[in-house]
Amino acid sequence: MNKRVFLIAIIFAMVAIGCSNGKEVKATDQKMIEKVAHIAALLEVNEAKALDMLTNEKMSVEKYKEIITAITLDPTATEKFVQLKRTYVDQYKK
Amino acid sequence: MKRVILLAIIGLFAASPVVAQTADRTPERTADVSDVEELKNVSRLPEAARDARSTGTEEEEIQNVVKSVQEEKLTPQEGANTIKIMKENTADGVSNKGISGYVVEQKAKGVHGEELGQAVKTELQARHRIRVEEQEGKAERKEEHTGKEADVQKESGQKAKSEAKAADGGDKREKGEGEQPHEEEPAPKKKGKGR
Repeated sequence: MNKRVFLIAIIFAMVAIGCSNGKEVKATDQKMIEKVAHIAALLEVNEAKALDMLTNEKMSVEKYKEIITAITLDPTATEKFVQLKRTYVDQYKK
Repeated sequence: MKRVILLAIIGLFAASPVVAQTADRTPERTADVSDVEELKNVSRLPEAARDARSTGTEEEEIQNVVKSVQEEKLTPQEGANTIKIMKENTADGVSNKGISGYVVEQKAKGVHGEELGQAVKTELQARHRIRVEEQEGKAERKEEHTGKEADVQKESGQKAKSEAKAADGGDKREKGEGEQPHEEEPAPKKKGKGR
């Protein structure tokens, strides 16, 4: 009986860990903002590279749109995004 | 038996992330050359919102427009254009209150693209005109009201003065200070001597 309970508990824990691994990074996290700012900058400078980056990041069009709109709803995140995008555009143009 | 249990645990551990990910994510399309324009339009949203916020555009309206884009009630381009129009209106001193609802309404009726932008501008101008007229009307009514009040006060003031004078005159007569000056009758004309 105890062994079975132990086994069930382990299985449950594994499933829980697995489910939590599937959670996505918050759209307004600094890293996510940097990522999409890179893509947005590349879209202005080199569309092919922008598409490559999206593919490499395994980001779909819907996902990109979701992140951008989430950023736009947050004034602080919006400010960060706009500044980063401008910086990257200047870098890529050089 | 123990080996079986151990293998089952390892298998579950390996399989559970995959199961979780596939359960969470709906099938999404990877970006293509044909998506570039849409991606560019989406990328313009944050800048449009930032510019609008810097001019003092109502935050509620900006949020509503962006949420409409999220819910696919508006395209990203329509959303960015609407926010840009709101920003221009704010710079002109026009309120944008309630315009996000109007935009979605028009879109649902089938107005889209440039026509939608034009409809938004026209509506905002019309609302602004109505508000200005209402305010002017209120100001006029207020002036009339204060004017009437002033007239009423004048009249009551004059009445009070005349009453006070009458009262003073009565008091003087009682005290015997003399009669009130009254108009004297003109003296009769004397007939000429040289006849």
